Amino acid sequence: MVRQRDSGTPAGQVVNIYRKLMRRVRWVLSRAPHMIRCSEFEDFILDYLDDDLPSAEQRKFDFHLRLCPECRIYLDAYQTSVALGRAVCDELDDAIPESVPEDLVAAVLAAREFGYEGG
Amino acid sequence: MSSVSNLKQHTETELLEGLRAGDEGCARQLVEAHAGRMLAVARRFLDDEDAAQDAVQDAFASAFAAIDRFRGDSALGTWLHSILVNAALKRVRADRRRHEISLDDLMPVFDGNGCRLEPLQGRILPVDQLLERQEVRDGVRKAIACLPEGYRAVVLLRDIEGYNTDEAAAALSISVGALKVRLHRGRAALKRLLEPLLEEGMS
Ligand SMILES: [Zn+2]
Repeated sequence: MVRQRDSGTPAGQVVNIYRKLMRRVRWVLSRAPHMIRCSEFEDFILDYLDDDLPSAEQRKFDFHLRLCPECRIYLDAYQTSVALGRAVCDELDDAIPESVPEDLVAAVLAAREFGYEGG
Repeated sequence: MSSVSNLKQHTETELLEGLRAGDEGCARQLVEAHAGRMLAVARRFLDDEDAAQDAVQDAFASAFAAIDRFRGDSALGTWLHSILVNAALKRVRADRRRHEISLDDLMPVFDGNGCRLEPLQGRILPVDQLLERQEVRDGVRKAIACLPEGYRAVVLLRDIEGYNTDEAAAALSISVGALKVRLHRGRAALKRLLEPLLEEGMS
């Protein structure tokens, strides 16, 4: 499921070996006090972004973020995606309204006349 | 009276007075001025075109019924927008999906030790630079549309409409815990769908 990029090229192989090694290192580190695993880090992201993490968890989160490049990349991409979604939808809000089917306008006005109050 | 109203464009204050007096020309002007934008927003929440149009119709019906209570402390358009969002939410189905994507396939992957397997390499471009690309803007629109309605609604409410967690949970009649799970899964899926667009030298 996960793409291993450029794994055919020598440089790509080095990168993949390096990342595999770093995962091993992180796994060893994850047994240290205050160190959480990536999967636990994942569970903290929402509250972290809402400034809702209790201070002990906040410290663990920050510590993991410093040590784990994969979670740094992940969080960066996660926040970038949220920001892109917001920007693209705001853009739509500012756009010139698209044309409305005339039968919708007619239906809305007819409903008003008959006192329909929404569903 | 109404034939005269049809011919001239009212200011918002005049429009409001006319609406309260039951003037048909004012009602038409309101619908024609706002229905396009409202339909666009409804389509963002709802896959089904009929459902989106129904939401717009519901919203106007609620608005006409409540026009006496409109205080005028926000613009009419803002007021209609919030009514429309509520009308659209009533038609959101948590389990309906258009493209049959499985959210499980879009969740982050960890190895057996709980270590993340991140496919991105880490040269993620700044947001404003990404937004300059038409393919990115199209890709983001498509990715949002791909999300199952129940997840998309949560992402739209929290990240685009600016609802807080409690407000969004109340608007969807789900628990705060369920809302948080859906929001995180929805965002994670969005990130996964956008991956091919985020890095330098990829496409
Ligand atoms: Zn990590």
